[in-house]
Amino acid sequence: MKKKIKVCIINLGINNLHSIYNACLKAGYSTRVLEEKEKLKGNIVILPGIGSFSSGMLSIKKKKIKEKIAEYLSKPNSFLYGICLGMQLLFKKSFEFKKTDGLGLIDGEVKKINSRIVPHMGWNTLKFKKKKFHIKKFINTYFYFVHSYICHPKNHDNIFASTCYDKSNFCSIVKKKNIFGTQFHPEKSGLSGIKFLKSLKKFLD
Amino acid sequence: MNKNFIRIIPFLDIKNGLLIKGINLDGFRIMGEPSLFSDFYNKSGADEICYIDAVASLFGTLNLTNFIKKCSKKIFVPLNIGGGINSVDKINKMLGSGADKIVINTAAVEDPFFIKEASRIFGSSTITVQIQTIKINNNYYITKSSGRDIEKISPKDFAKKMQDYGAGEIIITSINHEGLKKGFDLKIIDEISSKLQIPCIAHGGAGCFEDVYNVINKTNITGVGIASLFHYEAMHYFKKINPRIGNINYLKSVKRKKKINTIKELKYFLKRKKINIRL
Amino acid sequence: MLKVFYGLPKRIIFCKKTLMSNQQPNSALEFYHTKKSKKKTLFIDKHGVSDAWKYSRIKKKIKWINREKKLLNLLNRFRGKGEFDCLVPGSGGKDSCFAAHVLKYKYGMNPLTVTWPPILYTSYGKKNFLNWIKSGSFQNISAKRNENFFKIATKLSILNLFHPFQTFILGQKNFAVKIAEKLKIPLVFYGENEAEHHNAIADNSSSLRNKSYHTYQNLESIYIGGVKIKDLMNDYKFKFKDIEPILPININKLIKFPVEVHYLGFYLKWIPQETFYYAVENCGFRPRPFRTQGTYSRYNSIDDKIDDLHYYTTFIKFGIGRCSYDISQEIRNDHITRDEGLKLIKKYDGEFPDIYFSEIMKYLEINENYFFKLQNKFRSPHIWKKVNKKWYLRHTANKDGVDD
Repeated sequence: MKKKIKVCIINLGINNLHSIYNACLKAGYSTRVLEEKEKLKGNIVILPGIGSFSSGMLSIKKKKIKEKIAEYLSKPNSFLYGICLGMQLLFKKSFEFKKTDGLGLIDGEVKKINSRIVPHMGWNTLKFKKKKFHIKKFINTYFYFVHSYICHPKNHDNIFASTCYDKSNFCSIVKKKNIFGTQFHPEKSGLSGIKFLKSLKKFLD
Repeated sequence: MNKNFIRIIPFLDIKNGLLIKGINLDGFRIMGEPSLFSDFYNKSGADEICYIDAVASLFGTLNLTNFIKKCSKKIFVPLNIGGGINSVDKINKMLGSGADKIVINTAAVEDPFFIKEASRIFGSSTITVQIQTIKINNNYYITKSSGRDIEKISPKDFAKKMQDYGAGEIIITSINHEGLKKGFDLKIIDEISSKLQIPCIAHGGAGCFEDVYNVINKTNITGVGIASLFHYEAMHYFKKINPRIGNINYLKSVKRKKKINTIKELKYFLKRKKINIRL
Repeated sequence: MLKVFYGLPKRIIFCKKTLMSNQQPNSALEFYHTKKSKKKTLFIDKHGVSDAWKYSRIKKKIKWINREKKLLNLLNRFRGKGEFDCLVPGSGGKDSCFAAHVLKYKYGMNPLTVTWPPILYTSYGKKNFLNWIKSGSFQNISAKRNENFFKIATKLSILNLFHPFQTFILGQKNFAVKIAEKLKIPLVFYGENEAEHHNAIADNSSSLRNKSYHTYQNLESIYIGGVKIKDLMNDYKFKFKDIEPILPININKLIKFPVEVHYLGFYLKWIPQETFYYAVENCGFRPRPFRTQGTYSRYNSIDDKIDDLHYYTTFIKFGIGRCSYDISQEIRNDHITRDEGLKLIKKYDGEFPDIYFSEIMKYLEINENYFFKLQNKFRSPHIWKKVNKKWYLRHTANKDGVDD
């Protein structure tokens, strides 16, 4: 029997984890939530999040998540995946209410989305930079977004996919080696989202 | 018209664990077993699903937690829950049971500061305010407690206030049109949605696919809440239930049909009319 | 020993099933209604179950197909004869909407609608009336009467009997039959079959004649608003023709032309909530734009401003508020649970209807403070207890009365 991929979900304590937990199970992963005194381990570590950047960072400081992530990423075959706020936290800083430092794993900033209606709430599609075979199946599929801020990676090579909202494009998937982030919620994107979660490891190449 | 992707959102009113459908927000006609409808809509392409506990404000109860827990295990699109939610504790319970967005009406009208507090703690995008509008002699007012108590406040002003207090989204429910399947109240929906900078959902009155097209085309909403149009069709599809208590008179008279019009057909109709929609 | 008013049962019992109390009066003979009148009330047996509940269980077993056949036979006898073949009394409420519309559009009859207008129309009630007539393309006759007489009669009914609805009840019952006779329409249909009525026929010629006989024989001793007609006419300079609209039909007229009065609810399964849906979908009926004070619903009896006050007076006299009436009906129809009924009673029963109160008092020229003093005179001591200057029910369905 093929060994199940192990997924570990970081609990920042600021939102419920039911959806992402159930979605990972549905995607066929062996899933667990990180406990207080544990070290981070697993094939994939997910950093989910909904809410404000500053409360996210506050929680990270309290739970010493930054150190745990650093230790995890130093190991071989590690894969860190940030969802929504989780993706934004990977960056250097955010301009939410005041300038706040992020995890600094990806160079760039997080700023408010520039559109008439905020937050961007609803379904949308992805435009991939590279058209590798495993990406094809996601080209005309829809994913669920709900965010008021967007990421601006300094290095444009880190932009894995972009999405158009209100006539302007923003980075919807960021990738830097084994650090990955999606602005959308795969666990809220129906069956396409589950499929996407299943394909995570493939994006590593 | 909003050129971004429009969301089609079935609205399910639940009482005593059963799906009901009123008219002008009164009456409790039973349509059937809500989880059957919910699963069906999910499979047919619902972009989000909204569940409202129809009598929570009336009885001060919070009964949907177990139901949402079950739904969140098999439905992976956003689930919105409302009905009698008037405290941080209740919001926590709902989110902890699997809800993605919380819909608040009565509590927002009685204490607008609650919205400020809730959006600060849980984030704006988690807090949706439902505004029930009623039209009397060409004037619009708002109501609370499922249309039971009227407040002489203009819906447009209240919507702006809710936006300022941190609500992430507004549902505009038109009581006069609700349940009648004769179209939306385009006037008030346009009035509110054109003035706000947060997403708006139109709700109340969808009777045919053309109605849905019109509300998208003539207002700035980004989502359409639909109940009667879907439920009265879908109820032909399922095996009838026979609860001991409840108004099942209409349900008894319904004949089973194998082919019904639902979300998928609506979305193809809208796509043909050049509406941006997720297929 | 606690004094007991109105000849009500001394011991207060609530039906285990419907939560209605045994203090609920059955229909009264309004013409002989004085302060001293004793009421016939709802019977609750030794197991705590009321007649109304028992009838609701019988109603469940009725084969409605057979009843409808009877209706069709009845209608076939009269359909198409004369300018109108039947008459539907009503004011555009959900029940009269349903009755008139279904008789015309499902059963092919040609009904005349006859309206005894509310004493004080609500704006949405008036709209519902107009929509009813328009949507059904019905012909309508609305009673024209000496409004001053009815104002005074209503005022007296409140002052003497604490019963603002007496003239309305009389007019609603008697006016329709008189019009039927005048226009030679042999069939009159009321709507819902009350729980107490087990018959199709509300009134046939002989019972109408009986009413008429008694009334006209004893015209001298009839009371309206608790006052003898003779005194009313003398003191207020009213003429007989002012009072005539609410009197039952003259016996002589009935001998020449017999009129049958039926309950449509005997022939068709009457579900109040469903008549509401029907009325909204077909007759332009709209519920009240806010909750009716004293209860939770918005679509029952909403066209008369005085209606709310009427139910408040039943609360004062019998300890039964509007909510109790509504929930017992919904429980009998298996729409809500006993538990929900209890919660609703606790929340709404006896709520003071202040929205239209001042307007009504001004119209009737009754001092508001006087009304509040007056109400206490009508609280039967076996139902109410005064504790620290406030009045409380001794017994409630929720068992939270001061004597429970």
